[in-house]
Formats: sequence, structure tokens, C-alpha cells
Amino acid sequence: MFAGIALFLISSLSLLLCIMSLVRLNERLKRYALPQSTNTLMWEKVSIKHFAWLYTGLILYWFVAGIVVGIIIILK
Amino acid sequence: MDKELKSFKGQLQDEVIVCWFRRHWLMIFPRVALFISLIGLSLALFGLFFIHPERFQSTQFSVTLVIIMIAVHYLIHRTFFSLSQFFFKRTFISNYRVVMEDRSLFFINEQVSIDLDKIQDIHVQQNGLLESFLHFGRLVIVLSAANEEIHIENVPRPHHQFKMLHQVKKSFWQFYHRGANPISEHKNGGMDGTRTRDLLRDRQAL
Repeated sequence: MFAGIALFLISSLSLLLCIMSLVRLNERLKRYALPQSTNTLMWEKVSIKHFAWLYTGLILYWFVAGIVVGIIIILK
Repeated sequence: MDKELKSFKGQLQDEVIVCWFRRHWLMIFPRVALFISLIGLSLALFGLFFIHPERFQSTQFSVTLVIIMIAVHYLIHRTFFSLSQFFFKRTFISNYRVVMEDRSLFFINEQVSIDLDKIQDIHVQQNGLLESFLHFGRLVIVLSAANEEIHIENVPRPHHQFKMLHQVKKSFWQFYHRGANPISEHKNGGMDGTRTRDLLRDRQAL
């Protein structure tokens, strides 16, 4: 029972932190525009946005998993 | 300059970025590897949880699950914050100064600015096999006051940045030795965007 509630709480707090981070990131990316880099290497084209998508995906995955497992534990 | 078009906090109205760089990609490689491992771990745990549902009956298993959940969430956030710090840790070379910015999403907000007229010497250091193969190194800026040195570590293509910095410094001093204050003359059409555009054009030739 307590483990189920703990899972709910952890997942929700984590999702909240994820939303706050994404809002902050979006605000910063909108405010400051970078000129074209002098480094034209391929890895320079990788942006923080790509990692932000992965991050959102992972957090959503663990959020859903936490809620589902939390319900299973509470109902067992 | 419109506020929206600034490249960093505190950029002056008529300041133009000639060149900027982040640290070398090798610095975030461990974090990216951890991020990919976390995706793998997530998929593996998904299988474990749903292939053996009978384990949910055990209190010990539930407690372990909570601990795993806390650790995984911590790692995901920590990794993303480190990655964002890498992307926001940048060095700008402008027509006035060198700005080193170190920021993260929430915790770190540092900026160091060195005026071009304070720079006495610039050294580039690229030692070791890894640095030679992967093209990164260290820029050392010697300041004219008190012989102080500022080290910029893990600079990608350090010789290119070294050339750019020298070129900007040279242009600045050529302008300065005409006997005018570059900042005030700047406002009257001196070392302005036109001059910087020349620099930007010249950098293509480097």
C-alpha cells in the first residue's frame, strides 16, 4: 500500500520536474539565438532538443510505469 | 540589436559574435552513454515487471521497486541536467571581448568576460594522442594585468579558435592604435558591424 503511494508520488514529482525543466529550456532557447557555429562537424548538429525529446519520453515512460505498478500494488 | 536575437545574457547593443564554441563532444560522451543505458534499463525492467507479476505480492519486492524508481528518476534528471549544462557552457568571441558562459537549467549561472585589450598572449596546447586524434585541446589566455592566465579546457579545433581570437585581437588593436576609443568610435561608425562582417568574411578563408 505504502509502496504504491510512494510510486505515485515519485512519478508525479518527477513529471513535474520534467515539465519545469522543459519550460525553462524552451524559454532559454527562445530568448537567445546562436549564430552559425564555425564548427561544422557532424556532432555539432546534435542539439539539446534531441535530448529533450528522449528525456520527455523516458520520464513519461517511467511515469506511466510508476502509476500502473502503483495501482497494481495498491489493489493486490 | 533586438532582445530576441541576443546570443548570451549581457550582450551589448552593438556587439557581434565572430565565433563561438562549446566543449568537445568527448566531454558529454559518458552522459550520452548513460542516457542510452537508461533507455535499455527501462525496457529490461519493463519486461521483468510484467513477465513475473506474481512478484508484486512480495513487500520486499515493492520496497526494492520504490528504491529502483527513485534511483532511475534521479539518474534521468541528473543526466539531462548535465547534458543541458554542456550545451549552455559556451565561449563567445565577439568584436569587444571573450565571454565564457557556464549555465545549467537551474543551478549554475556563471559568466566571465575578458576585454580584448586585456589579452596579452594566447597559447594553444594540444598534448596527447587522444587530443591529437579527436582534435581538441586547451586555450590559455594570458592577461596583461598581473600575468594572470585563464585556461579554457577541451576546446574543439583549438588551432582554429586560436586563429580567430588572434584575428579579432589584431583587428581590435589596429583600430585602437588609430588613436580613437573603439567603443565611442564604434557608435560613430567605427569598429561596427561592417568591420565585423569583414572579419566574418575573412574567417571563411581560414
